[in-house]
Amino acid sequence: MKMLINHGTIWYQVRRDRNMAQKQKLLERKTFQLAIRLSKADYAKIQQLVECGLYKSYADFLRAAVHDKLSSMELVSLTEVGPAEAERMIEDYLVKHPGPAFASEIADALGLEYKITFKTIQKLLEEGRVKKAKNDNPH
Amino acid sequence: MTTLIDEGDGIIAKRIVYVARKTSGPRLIMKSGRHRGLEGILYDAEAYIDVAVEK
Repeated sequence: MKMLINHGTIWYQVRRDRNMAQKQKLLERKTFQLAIRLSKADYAKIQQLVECGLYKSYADFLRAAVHDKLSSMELVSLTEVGPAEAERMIEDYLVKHPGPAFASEIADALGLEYKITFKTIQKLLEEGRVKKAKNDNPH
Repeated sequence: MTTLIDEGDGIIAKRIVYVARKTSGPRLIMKSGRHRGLEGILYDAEAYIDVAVEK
């Protein structure tokens, strides 16, 4: 009886080590594969979108859907700064990141509210401290 | 910077950013041929026409 328990414990230990090694291997991977089960209705809707040409494949749709959901769940904390501080931060950003940048990108990068960012950029444009990018599509 | 606050006012731009309390949609709308678009609602929102700037 005692041996059986010991044997069981040893076997458990081996299995746990193997599981840890598997987990480690999984963590080292760059991509992961997930299998999901969908309702017929959802599947048909995705099929329609793929056939319309909006997505290259089912996987393409699912990747985009997961990406959208994850970015919508991302919590952003905004810093409250005064106009003078915002001006300094935006000018610093543009010096450190040469080339055209959208106001919204600057706001996102600096954690500023859109309202204060757009007001400040408007002021900087009027004063000639920054200029509108010639190429209005920086990407 | 002009702020439109009357009902029925419109914004047309290449790139508009927004801050809203709640959103619904977007849903896909089929226009003619290959023209497709998305439409949705922003509740209690403010929106800005994005501008690309450089030093």
